[in-house]
Amino acid sequence: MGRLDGKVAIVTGGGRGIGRATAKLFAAEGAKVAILSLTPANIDAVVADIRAAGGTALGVPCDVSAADQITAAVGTVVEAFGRIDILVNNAFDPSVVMSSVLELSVEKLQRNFDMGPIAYLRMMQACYPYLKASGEGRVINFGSSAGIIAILPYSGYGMAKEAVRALTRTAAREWGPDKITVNNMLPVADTWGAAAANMPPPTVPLGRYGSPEDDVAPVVLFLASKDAQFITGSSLTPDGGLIIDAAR
Amino acid sequence: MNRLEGRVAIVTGASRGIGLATAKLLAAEGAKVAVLSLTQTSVDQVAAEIEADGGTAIGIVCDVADADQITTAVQQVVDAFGGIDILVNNAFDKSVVNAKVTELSVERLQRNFDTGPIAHLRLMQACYPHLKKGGAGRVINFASMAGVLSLAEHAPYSMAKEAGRALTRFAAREWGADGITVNNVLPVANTFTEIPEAGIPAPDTPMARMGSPEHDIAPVVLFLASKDSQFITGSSLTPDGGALIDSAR
Repeated sequence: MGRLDGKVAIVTGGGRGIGRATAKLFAAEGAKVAILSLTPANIDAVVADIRAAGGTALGVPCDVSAADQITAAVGTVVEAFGRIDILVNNAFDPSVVMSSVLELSVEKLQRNFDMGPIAYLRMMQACYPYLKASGEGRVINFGSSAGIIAILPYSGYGMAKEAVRALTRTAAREWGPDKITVNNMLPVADTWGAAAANMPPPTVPLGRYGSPEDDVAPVVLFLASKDAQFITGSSLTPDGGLIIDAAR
Repeated sequence: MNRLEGRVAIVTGASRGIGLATAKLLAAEGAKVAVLSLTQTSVDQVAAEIEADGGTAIGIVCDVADADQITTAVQQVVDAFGGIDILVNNAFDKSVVNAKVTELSVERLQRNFDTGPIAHLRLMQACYPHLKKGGAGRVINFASMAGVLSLAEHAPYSMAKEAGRALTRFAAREWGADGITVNNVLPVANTFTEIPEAGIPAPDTPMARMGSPEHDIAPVVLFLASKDSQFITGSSLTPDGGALIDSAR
Protein backbone atom coordinates (compact mmCIF):
# COMPACT_ATOMS: atom_id res chain seq x y z
CA MET A 1 0.00 0.00 0.00
CA GLY A 2 1.00 3.62 -0.16
CA ARG A 3 0.81 4.00 -3.91
CA LEU A 4 -0.02 7.69 -3.43
CA ASP A 5 2.30 8.41 -0.51
CA GLY A 6 3.17 12.09 -0.29
CA LYS A 7 0.54 13.13 -2.83
CA VAL A 8 -2.25 15.66 -2.43
CA ALA A 9 -5.49 15.01 -4.27
CA ILE A 10 -8.64 17.04 -4.87
CA VAL A 11 -11.83 15.07 -5.51
CA THR A 12 -14.90 17.03 -6.57
CA GLY A 13 -18.27 15.47 -6.01
CA GLY A 14 -16.50 13.61 -3.24
CA GLY A 15 -19.46 13.42 -0.91
CA ARG A 16 -21.10 10.32 -2.34
CA GLY A 17 -20.89 7.54 -4.90
CA ILE A 18 -17.78 7.28 -7.03
CA GLY A 19 -16.25 10.48 -5.62
CA ARG A 20 -16.54 9.22 -2.10
CA ALA A 21 -15.13 5.80 -2.99
CA THR A 22 -12.24 7.47 -4.80
CA ALA A 23 -11.46 9.84 -1.94
CA LYS A 24 -11.41 6.99 0.55
CA LEU A 25 -9.21 4.77 -1.60
CA PHE A 26 -6.77 7.59 -2.29
CA ALA A 27 -6.50 8.30 1.43
CA ALA A 28 -5.97 4.60 2.15
CA GLU A 29 -3.09 4.69 -0.34
CA GLY A 30 -1.39 7.55 1.46
CA ALA A 31 -2.71 10.67 -0.24
CA LYS A 32 -3.95 13.72 1.62
CA VAL A 33 -7.40 14.25 0.14
CA ALA A 34 -9.50 17.40 -0.19
CA ILE A 35 -13.16 16.55 -0.63
CA LEU A 36 -15.12 19.15 -2.53
CA SER A 37 -18.89 18.96 -2.70
CA LEU A 38 -22.06 20.97 -2.28
CA THR A 39 -23.40 19.24 0.81
CA PRO A 40 -21.53 19.82 4.08
CA ALA A 41 -23.15 16.84 5.75
CA ASN A 42 -21.88 14.47 3.06
CA ILE A 43 -18.44 16.03 3.12
CA ASP A 44 -18.22 15.77 6.89
CA ALA A 45 -19.17 12.09 6.80
CA VAL A 46 -16.49 11.22 4.24
CA VAL A 47 -13.83 13.20 6.09
CA ALA A 48 -14.79 11.48 9.33
CA ASP A 49 -14.58 8.05 7.69
CA ILE A 50 -11.14 8.79 6.26
CA ARG A 51 -9.81 10.10 9.55
CA ALA A 52 -11.25 7.15 11.45
CA ALA A 53 -9.31 4.88 9.11
CA GLY A 54 -6.10 6.79 9.85
CA GLY A 55 -6.01 8.93 6.72
CA THR A 56 -5.72 12.66 6.12
CA ALA A 57 -8.66 14.56 4.70
CA LEU A 58 -10.01 18.07 4.41
CA GLY A 59 -13.61 18.98 3.61
CA VAL A 60 -14.15 22.02 1.40
CA PRO A 61 -17.73 22.93 0.54
CA CYS A 62 -17.67 24.18 -3.04
CA ASP A 63 -20.14 24.82 -5.82
CA VAL A 64 -18.05 24.07 -8.89
CA SER A 65 -20.36 26.17 -11.06
CA ALA A 66 -19.18 29.28 -9.18
CA ALA A 67 -15.83 30.61 -10.37
CA ASP A 68 -14.92 32.39 -7.15
CA GLN A 69 -15.71 29.30 -5.08
CA ILE A 70 -13.28 27.30 -7.19
CA THR A 71 -10.53 29.85 -6.69
CA ALA A 72 -11.20 29.92 -2.95
CA ALA A 73 -11.35 26.13 -2.66
CA VAL A 74 -8.05 25.58 -4.43
CA GLY A 75 -6.49 28.26 -2.23
CA THR A 76 -7.79 26.48 0.85
CA VAL A 77 -6.29 23.17 -0.27
CA VAL A 78 -2.90 24.69 -0.98
CA GLU A 79 -2.89 26.50 2.34
CA ALA A 80 -3.68 23.29 4.20
CA PHE A 81 -1.58 20.79 2.25
CA GLY A 82 1.03 22.88 0.44
CA ARG A 83 0.70 21.26 -2.98
CA ILE A 84 -1.66 19.61 -5.46
CA ASP A 85 -0.66 16.49 -7.41
CA ILE A 86 -3.97 14.98 -8.46
CA LEU A 87 -7.25 16.57 -9.59
CA VAL A 88 -10.30 14.35 -9.95
CA ASN A 89 -13.14 16.20 -11.67
CA ASN A 90 -16.09 13.99 -10.80
CA ALA A 91 -18.87 16.40 -9.79
CA PHE A 92 -22.02 16.84 -11.86
CA ASP A 93 -25.65 17.86 -11.39
CA PRO A 94 -27.90 14.78 -11.72
CA SER A 95 -31.06 16.89 -11.82
CA VAL A 96 -30.44 18.19 -15.32
CA VAL A 97 -29.14 15.16 -17.19
CA MET A 98 -32.32 14.09 -18.93
CA SER A 99 -33.99 15.74 -21.88
CA SER A 100 -34.85 14.85 -25.44
CA VAL A 101 -33.32 17.04 -28.10
CA LEU A 102 -36.66 18.61 -28.98
CA GLU A 103 -37.33 19.57 -25.37
CA LEU A 104 -33.81 20.60 -24.41
CA SER A 105 -33.87 24.17 -23.15
CA VAL A 106 -30.79 26.27 -23.54
CA GLU A 107 -30.94 26.87 -19.79
CA LYS A 108 -30.69 23.13 -19.07
CA LEU A 109 -27.93 22.69 -21.63
CA GLN A 110 -26.01 25.63 -20.17
CA ARG A 111 -26.32 24.17 -16.69
CA ASN A 112 -24.72 20.97 -17.98
CA PHE A 113 -21.90 23.03 -19.50
CA ASP A 114 -21.51 25.04 -16.28
CA MET A 115 -21.23 21.94 -14.07
CA GLY A 116 -19.17 19.98 -16.58
CA PRO A 117 -16.63 21.34 -19.03
CA ILE A 118 -16.63 24.90 -17.65
CA ALA A 119 -16.23 23.75 -14.05
CA TYR A 120 -13.58 21.23 -15.00
CA LEU A 121 -11.72 23.86 -17.04
CA ARG A 122 -11.72 26.29 -14.12
CA MET A 123 -10.53 23.62 -11.71
CA MET A 124 -7.78 22.58 -14.13
CA GLN A 125 -6.63 26.15 -14.70
CA ALA A 126 -6.57 26.87 -10.95
CA CYS A 127 -4.65 23.67 -10.19
CA TYR A 128 -2.28 23.84 -13.17
CA PRO A 129 0.64 25.69 -11.51
CA TYR A 130 0.64 23.16 -8.68
CA LEU A 131 0.24 20.16 -10.97
CA LYS A 132 3.20 21.42 -12.99
CA ALA A 133 5.27 21.96 -9.85
CA SER A 134 4.44 18.41 -8.77
CA GLY A 135 6.39 16.90 -11.62
CA GLU A 136 3.88 14.01 -11.65
CA GLY A 137 0.62 15.89 -12.11
CA ARG A 138 -2.56 13.95 -12.76
CA VAL A 139 -5.92 15.22 -14.03
CA ILE A 140 -8.75 12.70 -14.16
CA ASN A 141 -11.98 13.95 -15.71
CA PHE A 142 -15.20 12.03 -15.61
CA GLY A 143 -17.02 11.64 -18.90
CA SER A 144 -19.84 9.30 -19.75
CA SER A 145 -20.74 6.57 -22.18
CA ALA A 146 -23.97 8.53 -22.54
CA GLY A 147 -22.11 10.99 -24.71
CA ILE A 148 -20.22 8.41 -26.73
CA ILE A 149 -23.10 6.19 -27.78
CA ALA A 150 -25.82 8.79 -27.29
CA ILE A 151 -27.81 7.01 -24.61
CA LEU A 152 -31.32 8.42 -24.58
CA PRO A 153 -32.56 10.73 -23.17
CA TYR A 154 -29.29 12.28 -21.98
CA SER A 155 -28.73 14.84 -24.73
CA GLY A 156 -27.55 17.88 -22.75
CA TYR A 157 -25.48 15.73 -20.42
CA GLY A 158 -23.91 13.78 -23.25
CA MET A 159 -23.01 16.97 -25.10
CA ALA A 160 -21.38 18.43 -22.01
CA LYS A 161 -19.44 15.24 -21.28
CA GLU A 162 -18.13 15.07 -24.83
CA ALA A 163 -16.88 18.62 -24.41
CA VAL A 164 -15.12 17.41 -21.25
CA ARG A 165 -13.43 14.60 -23.19
CA ALA A 166 -12.22 17.11 -25.77
CA LEU A 167 -10.84 19.34 -23.01
CA THR A 168 -9.02 16.31 -21.62
CA ARG A 169 -7.40 15.53 -24.95
CA THR A 170 -6.35 19.10 -25.63
CA ALA A 171 -4.87 19.52 -22.17
CA ALA A 172 -3.09 16.19 -22.56
CA ARG A 173 -1.35 17.52 -25.64
CA GLU A 174 -0.51 20.90 -24.11
CA TRP A 175 0.52 19.75 -20.63
CA GLY A 176 2.53 16.68 -21.63
CA PRO A 177 5.76 18.69 -21.58
CA ASP A 178 4.87 19.63 -17.97
CA LYS A 179 4.67 15.91 -17.16
CA ILE A 180 0.97 16.22 -16.37
CA THR A 181 -1.20 13.38 -17.67
CA VAL A 182 -4.87 14.09 -18.38
CA ASN A 183 -7.33 11.26 -18.91
CA ASN A 184 -11.05 10.52 -18.89
CA MET A 185 -12.99 7.99 -16.85
CA LEU A 186 -16.13 6.50 -18.36
CA PRO A 187 -17.60 4.43 -15.53
CA VAL A 188 -20.82 2.59 -15.15
CA ALA A 189 -21.58 2.14 -11.49
CA ASP A 190 -24.52 1.58 -9.26
CA THR A 191 -24.75 4.90 -7.51
CA TRP A 192 -28.51 4.95 -7.49
CA GLY A 193 -29.36 1.81 -5.51
CA ALA A 194 -30.20 -0.47 -8.41
CA ALA A 195 -28.85 -3.57 -6.73
CA ALA A 196 -30.65 -2.74 -3.50
CA ALA A 197 -33.86 -2.24 -5.44
CA ASN A 198 -33.47 -5.71 -6.98
CA MET A 199 -33.37 -4.39 -10.50
CA PRO A 200 -32.40 -6.95 -13.14
CA PRO A 201 -28.70 -6.91 -13.96
CA PRO A 202 -27.67 -4.99 -17.05
CA THR A 203 -26.98 -6.87 -20.27
CA VAL A 204 -23.27 -6.21 -20.31
CA PRO A 205 -20.60 -8.90 -20.64
CA LEU A 206 -19.73 -8.79 -16.96
CA GLY A 207 -23.40 -9.02 -16.08
CA ARG A 208 -23.63 -6.64 -13.15
CA TYR A 209 -23.76 -3.00 -12.14
CA GLY A 210 -20.40 -1.63 -11.14
CA SER A 211 -19.47 -0.99 -7.56
CA PRO A 212 -17.93 2.44 -6.92
CA GLU A 213 -15.56 0.92 -4.37
CA ASP A 214 -14.50 -2.30 -6.08
CA ASP A 215 -14.85 -1.55 -9.79
CA VAL A 216 -14.39 2.17 -10.38
CA ALA A 217 -12.22 3.71 -7.66
CA PRO A 218 -9.31 1.28 -8.31
CA VAL A 219 -9.20 2.49 -11.91
CA VAL A 220 -9.02 6.12 -10.79
CA LEU A 221 -6.22 5.03 -8.44
CA PHE A 222 -4.36 3.48 -11.37
CA LEU A 223 -4.58 6.71 -13.37
CA ALA A 224 -3.45 8.73 -10.35
CA SER A 225 -0.50 6.46 -9.66
CA LYS A 226 2.95 6.11 -11.17
CA ASP A 227 1.81 3.00 -13.06
CA ALA A 228 -0.13 5.14 -15.56
CA GLN A 229 2.58 7.73 -16.13
CA PHE A 230 2.75 7.00 -19.87
CA ILE A 231 -1.00 7.12 -20.55
CA THR A 232 -2.45 10.50 -21.48
CA GLY A 233 -5.35 11.87 -23.50
CA SER A 234 -7.24 8.58 -23.29
CA SER A 235 -10.47 7.28 -21.77
CA LEU A 236 -10.64 4.28 -19.45
CA THR A 237 -13.89 2.36 -19.32
CA PRO A 238 -14.70 0.44 -16.14
CA ASP A 239 -18.18 -0.33 -17.39
CA GLY A 240 -18.43 -4.10 -17.45
CA GLY A 241 -18.01 -4.08 -21.22
CA LEU A 242 -20.85 -1.67 -22.01
CA ILE A 243 -18.89 -0.05 -24.83
CA ILE A 244 -16.89 -2.45 -26.95
CA ASP A 245 -16.08 -1.40 -30.51
CA ALA A 246 -13.26 -0.82 -32.95
CA ALA A 247 -12.83 2.80 -31.96
CA ARG A 248 -10.86 1.48 -29.01
CA MET B 1 3.94 -5.59 -3.10
CA ASN B 2 1.93 -8.68 -3.86
CA ARG B 3 -0.87 -7.69 -6.13
CA LEU B 4 -0.75 -11.02 -8.00
CA GLU B 5 -0.14 -13.34 -5.07
CA GLY B 6 -1.10 -16.91 -5.91
CA ARG B 7 -1.80 -16.25 -9.60
CA VAL B 8 -0.26 -17.99 -12.61
CA ALA B 9 0.73 -16.01 -15.69
CA ILE B 10 1.91 -16.94 -19.18
CA VAL B 11 3.91 -14.29 -21.04
CA THR B 12 4.84 -14.93 -24.67
CA GLY B 13 7.76 -13.18 -26.31
CA ALA B 14 9.20 -12.87 -22.82
CA SER B 15 12.89 -13.06 -23.62
CA ARG B 16 13.32 -9.37 -24.38
CA GLY B 17 11.72 -5.95 -24.43
CA ILE B 18 8.19 -5.55 -23.14
CA GLY B 19 7.65 -9.29 -22.61
CA LEU B 20 10.74 -9.52 -20.45
CA ALA B 21 9.81 -6.48 -18.39
CA THR B 22 6.29 -7.82 -17.98
CA ALA B 23 7.40 -11.29 -16.91
CA LYS B 24 9.69 -9.79 -14.29
CA LEU B 25 7.12 -7.35 -12.92
CA LEU B 26 4.35 -9.95 -12.68
CA ALA B 27 6.76 -12.25 -10.85
CA ALA B 28 7.82 -9.44 -8.53
CA GLU B 29 4.15 -8.99 -7.66
CA GLY B 30 3.81 -12.60 -6.62
CA ALA B 31 2.69 -14.40 -9.77
CA LYS B 32 4.19 -17.68 -10.90
CA VAL B 33 5.31 -16.88 -14.43
CA ALA B 34 5.76 -19.11 -17.47
CA VAL B 35 8.32 -17.42 -19.73
CA LEU B 36 7.66 -18.37 -23.36
CA SER B 37 9.93 -17.59 -26.29
CA LEU B 38 11.68 -19.23 -29.22
CA THR B 39 14.99 -20.35 -27.75
CA GLN B 40 15.84 -22.53 -24.74
CA THR B 41 18.82 -20.50 -23.61
CA SER B 42 16.85 -17.26 -23.53
CA VAL B 43 13.83 -18.61 -21.65
CA ASP B 44 16.09 -20.39 -19.19
CA GLN B 45 18.03 -17.20 -18.57
CA VAL B 46 14.93 -15.13 -17.90
CA ALA B 47 13.48 -17.76 -15.58
CA ALA B 48 16.80 -17.93 -13.73
CA GLU B 49 16.88 -14.16 -13.32
CA ILE B 50 13.35 -14.15 -11.92
CA GLU B 51 14.19 -16.91 -9.47
CA ALA B 52 17.38 -15.14 -8.42
CA ASP B 53 15.20 -12.15 -7.55
CA GLY B 54 13.04 -14.35 -5.32
CA GLY B 55 10.25 -15.07 -7.79
CA THR B 56 8.87 -18.25 -9.31
CA ALA B 57 9.25 -18.94 -13.01
CA ILE B 58 9.72 -21.62 -15.62
CA GLY B 59 11.08 -21.24 -19.13
CA ILE B 60 9.21 -22.96 -21.95
CA VAL B 61 10.27 -22.95 -25.57
CA CYS B 62 7.28 -22.20 -27.75
CA ASP B 63 6.93 -21.07 -31.33
CA VAL B 64 3.50 -19.46 -31.18
CA ALA B 65 3.03 -20.09 -34.91
CA ASP B 66 3.01 -23.84 -34.18
CA ALA B 67 -0.29 -25.26 -32.92
CA ASP B 68 1.27 -28.33 -31.33
CA GLN B 69 3.84 -26.30 -29.43
CA ILE B 70 1.05 -24.14 -28.01
CA THR B 71 -0.88 -27.17 -26.79
CA THR B 72 2.23 -28.65 -25.23
CA ALA B 73 3.34 -25.39 -23.63
CA VAL B 74 -0.03 -24.71 -22.00
CA GLN B 75 -0.14 -28.23 -20.60
CA GLN B 76 3.36 -27.80 -19.21
CA VAL B 77 2.29 -24.64 -17.40
CA VAL B 78 -0.73 -26.36 -15.89
CA ASP B 79 1.40 -29.35 -14.84
CA ALA B 80 3.96 -27.08 -13.20
CA PHE B 81 1.75 -24.46 -11.60
CA GLY B 82 -1.72 -26.04 -11.34
CA GLY B 83 -3.70 -23.56 -13.39
CA ILE B 84 -3.60 -20.41 -15.48
CA ASP B 85 -5.00 -17.01 -14.49
CA ILE B 86 -3.30 -14.52 -16.80
CA LEU B 87 -2.36 -14.83 -20.47
CA VAL B 88 -0.20 -12.09 -22.00
CA ASN B 89 -0.05 -12.44 -25.80
CA ASN B 90 2.97 -10.30 -26.55
CA ALA B 91 5.07 -12.29 -29.04
CA PHE B 92 5.35 -11.24 -32.66
CA ASP B 93 7.71 -11.55 -35.62
CA LYS B 94 9.30 -8.18 -36.21
CA SER B 95 11.00 -9.28 -39.42
CA VAL B 96 7.79 -9.24 -41.45
CA VAL B 97 6.03 -6.07 -40.36
CA ASN B 98 6.83 -3.91 -43.36
CA ALA B 99 5.47 -4.01 -46.90
CA LYS B 100 3.84 -1.60 -49.29
CA VAL B 101 0.36 -2.71 -50.28
CA THR B 102 1.40 -3.04 -53.95
CA GLU B 103 4.27 -5.34 -52.99
CA LEU B 104 2.73 -7.27 -50.13
CA SER B 105 3.06 -10.99 -50.65
CA VAL B 106 0.40 -13.28 -49.32
CA GLU B 107 3.16 -15.26 -47.62
CA ARG B 108 4.24 -12.23 -45.60
CA LEU B 109 0.65 -11.37 -44.75
CA GLN B 110 -0.02 -14.95 -43.66
CA ARG B 111 3.08 -14.94 -41.46
CA ASN B 112 1.69 -11.89 -39.66
CA PHE B 113 -1.64 -13.67 -39.18
CA ASP B 114 0.12 -16.84 -37.99
CA THR B 115 2.18 -15.08 -35.32
CA GLY B 116 -0.57 -12.63 -34.43
CA PRO B 117 -4.29 -13.27 -34.28
CA ILE B 118 -4.06 -17.00 -35.02
CA ALA B 119 -1.46 -17.48 -32.31
CA HIS B 120 -3.51 -15.36 -29.90
CA LEU B 121 -6.60 -17.39 -30.73
CA ARG B 122 -4.88 -20.74 -30.17
CA LEU B 123 -3.38 -19.64 -26.88
CA MET B 124 -6.68 -18.19 -25.72
CA GLN B 125 -8.57 -21.36 -26.62
CA ALA B 126 -5.99 -23.56 -24.90
CA CYS B 127 -5.99 -21.42 -21.76
CA TYR B 128 -9.73 -20.83 -21.63
CA PRO B 129 -10.76 -23.80 -19.46
CA HIS B 130 -8.10 -22.87 -16.95
CA LEU B 131 -8.93 -19.16 -17.01
CA LYS B 132 -12.57 -20.00 -16.43
CA LYS B 133 -11.78 -22.41 -13.61
CA GLY B 134 -9.63 -19.82 -11.86
CA GLY B 135 -12.62 -17.48 -11.59
CA ALA B 136 -10.82 -14.21 -12.37
CA GLY B 137 -9.17 -14.77 -15.72
CA ARG B 138 -7.22 -12.13 -17.58
CA VAL B 139 -6.26 -12.06 -21.27
CA ILE B 140 -4.01 -9.21 -22.37
CA ASN B 141 -3.35 -9.01 -26.09
CA PHE B 142 -0.76 -6.72 -27.60
CA ALA B 143 -1.73 -4.61 -30.58
CA SER B 144 -0.27 -1.49 -32.13
CA MET B 145 -1.01 2.09 -33.01
CA ALA B 146 0.34 1.14 -36.42
CA GLY B 147 -2.91 -0.73 -36.92
CA VAL B 148 -5.16 1.96 -35.53
CA LEU B 149 -3.56 4.68 -37.65
CA SER B 150 -2.82 2.35 -40.52
CA LEU B 151 0.74 3.58 -40.83
CA ALA B 152 2.07 3.48 -44.38
CA GLU B 153 4.13 0.44 -45.32
CA HIS B 154 2.87 -1.53 -42.33
CA ALA B 155 -0.15 -3.16 -43.97
CA PRO B 156 0.49 -6.80 -43.04
CA TYR B 157 1.29 -5.95 -39.43
CA SER B 158 -1.64 -3.54 -39.14
CA MET B 159 -4.10 -5.99 -40.62
CA ALA B 160 -2.96 -8.72 -38.26
CA LYS B 161 -2.99 -6.48 -35.19
CA GLU B 162 -6.44 -5.12 -35.97
CA ALA B 163 -7.74 -8.65 -36.38
CA GLY B 164 -6.20 -9.31 -32.98
CA ARG B 165 -8.02 -6.36 -31.43
CA ALA B 166 -11.28 -7.65 -32.88
CA LEU B 167 -10.62 -11.07 -31.35
CA THR B 168 -10.17 -9.34 -28.00
CA ARG B 169 -13.56 -7.68 -28.30
CA PHE B 170 -15.39 -10.87 -29.26
CA ALA B 171 -13.81 -12.84 -26.46
CA ALA B 172 -14.61 -10.02 -24.04
CA ARG B 173 -18.29 -10.32 -24.91
CA GLU B 174 -18.34 -14.12 -24.86
CA TRP B 175 -16.18 -14.76 -21.81
CA GLY B 176 -17.46 -12.04 -19.51
CA ALA B 177 -19.91 -14.50 -18.00
CA ASP B 178 -16.92 -16.71 -17.11
CA GLY B 179 -15.31 -13.94 -15.12
CA ILE B 180 -12.61 -13.43 -17.75
CA THR B 181 -11.67 -9.94 -18.92
CA VAL B 182 -9.95 -9.52 -22.29
CA ASN B 183 -8.18 -6.28 -23.23
CA ASN B 184 -5.62 -4.88 -25.64
CA VAL B 185 -2.44 -2.95 -24.90
CA LEU B 186 -1.08 -0.60 -27.56
CA PRO B 187 2.36 0.42 -26.33
CA VAL B 188 5.01 2.70 -27.70
CA ALA B 189 8.33 1.74 -26.22
CA ASN B 190 11.99 1.65 -27.01
CA THR B 191 12.64 -2.02 -27.56
CA PHE B 192 15.13 -1.42 -30.31
CA THR B 193 18.14 -2.80 -28.50
CA GLU B 194 20.12 -2.40 -31.66
CA ILE B 195 19.78 1.40 -31.56
CA PRO B 196 21.30 3.20 -28.58
CA GLU B 197 18.87 5.45 -26.72
CA ALA B 198 20.79 8.53 -27.75
CA GLY B 199 20.30 7.67 -31.38
CA ILE B 200 16.53 7.80 -31.28
CA PRO B 201 15.02 11.22 -31.91
CA ALA B 202 12.47 12.41 -29.35
CA PRO B 203 9.07 11.51 -30.74
CA ASP B 204 6.61 14.28 -31.53
CA THR B 205 4.21 13.29 -28.76
CA PRO B 206 3.00 15.17 -25.68
CA MET B 207 5.43 13.36 -23.43
CA ALA B 208 8.23 13.65 -25.99
CA ARG B 209 10.07 10.50 -25.09
CA MET B 210 10.09 6.82 -25.97
CA GLY B 211 8.49 4.52 -23.46
CA SER B 212 10.44 2.30 -21.13
CA PRO B 213 9.30 -1.32 -21.07
CA GLU B 214 9.96 -1.50 -17.32
CA HIS B 215 8.54 1.81 -16.14
CA ASP B 216 5.89 2.71 -18.69
CA ILE B 217 4.50 -0.48 -20.23
CA ALA B 218 4.81 -3.34 -17.77
CA PRO B 219 2.93 -1.47 -15.00
CA VAL B 220 -0.03 -1.10 -17.34
CA VAL B 221 -0.02 -4.84 -18.04
CA LEU B 222 0.14 -5.36 -14.27
CA PHE B 223 -2.94 -3.17 -13.86
CA LEU B 224 -4.84 -5.24 -16.43
CA ALA B 225 -3.70 -8.46 -14.76
CA SER B 226 -4.77 -7.31 -11.31
CA LYS B 227 -8.03 -7.01 -9.43
CA ASP B 228 -8.04 -3.24 -9.98
CA SER B 229 -9.14 -3.69 -13.60
CA GLN B 230 -11.83 -6.27 -12.97
CA PHE B 231 -14.57 -4.12 -14.52
CA ILE B 232 -12.71 -3.22 -17.72
CA THR B 233 -13.11 -5.55 -20.68
CA GLY B 234 -13.00 -5.34 -24.45
CA SER B 235 -10.99 -2.13 -24.39
CA SER B 236 -7.55 -0.95 -25.46
CA LEU B 237 -5.10 0.79 -23.15
CA THR B 238 -2.51 3.05 -24.73
CA PRO B 239 0.72 3.60 -22.77
CA ASP B 240 2.25 5.60 -25.59
CA GLY B 241 3.06 9.02 -24.18
CA GLY B 242 0.03 10.48 -25.89
CA ALA B 243 0.86 9.25 -29.40
CA LEU B 244 -2.79 8.34 -30.02
CA ILE B 245 -5.23 11.02 -28.89
CA ASP B 246 -8.59 11.44 -30.60
CA SER B 247 -12.29 11.33 -29.94
CA ALA B 248 -12.54 7.65 -30.74
CA ARG B 249 -11.39 7.24 -27.16
